[in-house]
Amino acid sequence: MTSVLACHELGRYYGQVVGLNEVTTEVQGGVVGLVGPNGAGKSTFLRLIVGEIRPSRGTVRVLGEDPFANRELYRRIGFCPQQDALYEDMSAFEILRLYLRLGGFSPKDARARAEHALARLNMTERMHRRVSTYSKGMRQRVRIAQAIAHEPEFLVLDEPMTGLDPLGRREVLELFRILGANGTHVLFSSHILYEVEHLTAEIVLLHRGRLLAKGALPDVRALLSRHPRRVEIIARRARDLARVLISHEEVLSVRVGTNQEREEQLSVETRAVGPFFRRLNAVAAGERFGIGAVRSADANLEAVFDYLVQ
Amino acid sequence: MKPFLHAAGLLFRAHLWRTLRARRSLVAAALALLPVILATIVSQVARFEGPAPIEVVFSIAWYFHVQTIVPLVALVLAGGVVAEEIEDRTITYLFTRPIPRASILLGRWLAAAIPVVVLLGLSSAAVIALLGRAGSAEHTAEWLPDGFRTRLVVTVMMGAAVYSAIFAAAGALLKHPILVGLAYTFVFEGFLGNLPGSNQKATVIYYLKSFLFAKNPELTGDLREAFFTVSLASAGSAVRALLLILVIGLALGAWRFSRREYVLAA
Repeated sequence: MTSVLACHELGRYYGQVVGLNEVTTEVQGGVVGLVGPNGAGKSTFLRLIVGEIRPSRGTVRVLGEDPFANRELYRRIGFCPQQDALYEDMSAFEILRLYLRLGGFSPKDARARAEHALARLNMTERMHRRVSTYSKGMRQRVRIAQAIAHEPEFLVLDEPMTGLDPLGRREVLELFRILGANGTHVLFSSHILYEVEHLTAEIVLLHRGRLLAKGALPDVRALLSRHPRRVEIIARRARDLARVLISHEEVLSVRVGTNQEREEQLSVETRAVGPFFRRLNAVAAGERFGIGAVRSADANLEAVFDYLVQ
Repeated sequence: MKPFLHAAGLLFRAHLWRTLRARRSLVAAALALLPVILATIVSQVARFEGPAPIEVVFSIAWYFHVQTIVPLVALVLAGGVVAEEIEDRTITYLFTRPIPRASILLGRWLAAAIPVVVLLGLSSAAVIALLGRAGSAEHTAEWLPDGFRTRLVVTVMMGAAVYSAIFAAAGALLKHPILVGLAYTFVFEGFLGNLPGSNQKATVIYYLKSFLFAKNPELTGDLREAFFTVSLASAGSAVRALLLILVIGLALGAWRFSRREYVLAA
């Protein structure tokens, strides 16, 4: 069976800057999340997949074909780019109808498909208004609609949740779930693991242009959960709090110092963030340590991915 | 060929209205109006003994209108057809459709070229009509030979088509098509096109001049020596040369557009 996506030592450089480096992977199909922090190379990877740019080295095959300027392939794939770009002086309906007509659909079919795609994104009432009057979320819905309108086999979406409100995100995630369940292969990028988790267990992990991991999300999460995390606590009685916390098994180390505002601060390293926060709540409720602020110092993806690189 | 023409036609229809509604169309219309205003002033204010001197007619209809306004209007409307899609980052949507990339250039060029040709054609018709009326009351427009007015309008329209093709292609070939277009208009066409020597034959303006004056070189009067430093091509050869420049320009632009990568910032 032909893979939906097959890359071999795929690389893309922008002068001296590495956009993507030696990525070798294969995606058989289904719904797959492409995750990585900002600047990981996700957009470059997706642009190579849809043939917007050529590889500097290696090969990429989409549905068995070289994607660059491959007209026949473009009938089979749909792409939602990350950039917030649309013809401002046209309506969503006009834009979709034009793209569908360019895709070879008859005027009648193009009209019906445009209406249907926009209806799936809850844009029916606003589809005849000019794009320049749309909110960010509405514009994102139009971008997604143009990608799905021709019912492609393979849908490539670059940060498709950008600009959507929580309700919009839920609706769009549900749409992708339905598309996936109906046999459309979906590859979507996100730097928010939570979003990915709602849609698929299958992820491709990129960091600094390199492929870090590919596989089931629970496996990756298990790897992440074993990663020691740092929590910073500002407290008036920081030393007393340190003495209490260090006695608990989930705490690996505690350092006492001062922050830039010259407040006393604890830096706690823990192997289990959840149990630690529960413990901290209990401790804070029992005795007054003057806790001012608590923050997870390395909960962002950058830190997580830094860990995975090591 | 059919998918190519079909896609070009769709893009032409979609973008024609966009071109007409665009702000740059107002700029183009304002530019095209300048020679008309100048000709109106001459026809209403200036008093000559006899018809308007050929120097006045030439200054407005040829040097100002054909040599300056025609390429500028073409540049304003056609120079950005590709650059606009790239700068606005909408090119992605077109590049991921099952259409020949060259059809994008052709469709978008047509959507810009037709307004340019019509606008400048109307403007030149108004200019020559107004200048023909300039002069003392007993002189009417008949001093211009038969067919000259029509030839001037056709010259302007051909110039508009050829320059718009060159500038549309420049958008596909170069990073800063507007700057290059300005340099091309004033340095290459304006300077080289008027410099004595066969270098003129490398310019569009030479073929436009040939088409317009091949039949009536006497029209230039005292300007003849300064104007015709190189023998003119026949009207037929001039049309063929202009057509060739247009086709080569578009073909080159389409070839580059089909192969070039446009790396867009997210």
